[in-house]
Amino acid sequence: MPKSQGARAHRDLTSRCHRVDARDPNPRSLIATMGSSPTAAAGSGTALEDLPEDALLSILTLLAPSDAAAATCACRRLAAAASSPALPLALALRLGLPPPPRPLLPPASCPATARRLLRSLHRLRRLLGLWRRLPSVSTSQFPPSPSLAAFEWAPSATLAASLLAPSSAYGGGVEVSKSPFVTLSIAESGDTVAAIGDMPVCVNFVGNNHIVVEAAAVNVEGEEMVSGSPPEEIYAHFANRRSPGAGRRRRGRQGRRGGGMEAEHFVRIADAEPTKARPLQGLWKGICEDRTLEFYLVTYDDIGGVTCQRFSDTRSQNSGYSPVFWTTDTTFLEPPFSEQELDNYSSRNHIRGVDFNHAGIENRVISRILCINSSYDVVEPHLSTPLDDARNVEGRIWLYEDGTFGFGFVGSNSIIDLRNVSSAGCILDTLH
Amino acid sequence: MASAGESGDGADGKGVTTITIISSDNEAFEVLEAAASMSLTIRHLIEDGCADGGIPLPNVTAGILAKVLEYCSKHVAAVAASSEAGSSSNAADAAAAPEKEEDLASFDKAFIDVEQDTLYDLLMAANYLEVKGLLDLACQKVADMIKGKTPDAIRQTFKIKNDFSPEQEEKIREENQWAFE
Repeated sequence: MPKSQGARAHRDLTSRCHRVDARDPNPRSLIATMGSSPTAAAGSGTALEDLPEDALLSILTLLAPSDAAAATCACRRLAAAASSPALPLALALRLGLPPPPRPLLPPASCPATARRLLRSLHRLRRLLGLWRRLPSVSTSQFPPSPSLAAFEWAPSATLAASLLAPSSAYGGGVEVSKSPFVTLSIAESGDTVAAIGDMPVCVNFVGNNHIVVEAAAVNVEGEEMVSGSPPEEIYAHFANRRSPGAGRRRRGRQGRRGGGMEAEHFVRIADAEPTKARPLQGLWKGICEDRTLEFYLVTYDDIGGVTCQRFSDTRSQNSGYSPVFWTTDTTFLEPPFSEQELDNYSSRNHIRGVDFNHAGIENRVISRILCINSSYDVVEPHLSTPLDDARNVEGRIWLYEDGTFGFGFVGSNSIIDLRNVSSAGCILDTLH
Repeated sequence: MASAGESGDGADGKGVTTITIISSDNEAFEVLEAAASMSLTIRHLIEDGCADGGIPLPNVTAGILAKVLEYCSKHVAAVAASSEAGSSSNAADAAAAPEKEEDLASFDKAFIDVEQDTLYDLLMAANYLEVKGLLDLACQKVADMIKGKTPDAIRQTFKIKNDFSPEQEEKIREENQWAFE
């Protein structure tokens, strides 16, 4: 059949949308004139609670638990959508868990189970991201365990935490090794279960940005219990399925924590990736003066300043960071750059790893330059950097077109180039 | 075969394929196939060869269909522009990409700033037509209207009647107490 002609009004949206003029004498517009009034286009008093269930589920998955709860309490329709067995799966898909066809979540057989499932999913979502282990006073482990942990979705609707450390495999690249840490999954009851290898653990929030990982108590009393169906045994089975003897040990003992594991505290590394407004922000990695890969955290403060700190996996009593530079003025120099600035950059060496054998690009395209001027008045005196004696450290940050950046100091002829540790939530350059 | 119009009047001389979509109130819209294909529903109909003589959409009125197609046209044009910039070796093009992203975000924000009735109709049309971006945009708008509100305030915003008995309301609050912990 040919393209629509004749009595049908014809709208061309090839370039932009526009309405047919009602005064158009062209008879082909007649029907358009009849049907194009704004009121005809509007709905007939549709209300929120009239939306189909899958639309309501989509809206609920976008809400934090407290907002979803408030919506649930508004009317029966929303309450019914909120207790739909389909909501946990919709939330899981929204959060980025692998999609069906395999059933990856326990079936939400009743509203109580569905609520526990939702609570578990929201809890797992809060764990996503990068966390830094706080130094423990009593730890005497050597070599020290990596202090950077990444919580990511893993197959079978689990959340897997890995410890990240600079890889020594190739002695010069930017690869990061991942060693398994905690695995969290959702039991049949809808509750969260966690383990490190075969050892059940608890991962509890202290506020939103601090978690404690410790061995689980061998007696499940006092923890979340299923009320009504499903029965307690199912929860206990899944909570202890990796510890066949736990059932026998459990009886008659109260609150003993097994495994000899000391509680480990982690704080969230918020803002682990740069944004357009904060291009230096994030967790970065780069080859430092020692020719080894190190992690650097760059944060913006409330008064427009930027601080860069280097992770230290040491047993020192500081917070686990060594300051590298900071600056209070984040006004970038824009191109065209002066000859002096360009010479300053091109005369420097980019620090490479020991066995570096890549034909890297020595001088990248610089999009902006930041002058840094850090005062060491407040720095701990025992820090070993080449610029120990300086009370003021001047340097430059060269922001590259690809979003990474390098930095170097006056008086030094090197550049430390940094790359993102993660991008869009995924850890880059990993070795397992 | 799709009801395709060949017009070689594009600026670069390439032919573009257009599709005719017909609303429930019998208005016809001619739109680029690429834009129409942002709707999975329409895309499947095209692929199944059901687009001859135009694709009728009995569930979508002209006004709402116009808006949905406006959204699709804008987004398809933005995708095309950003792939050109991505493959371009022109630094100016690459540098302009974030600004174009901002333009699209501004477009979306203005686009979804509509009366509640229209918002729901857009949401339902996007749901039916499977236009994921528009569905997400409309759902997010509704979610933003819910955020931070008490149940009473939600009822006022959306003109919802409280159809719980006092006992039911109390029970619901208790069951959802965990969300405030």
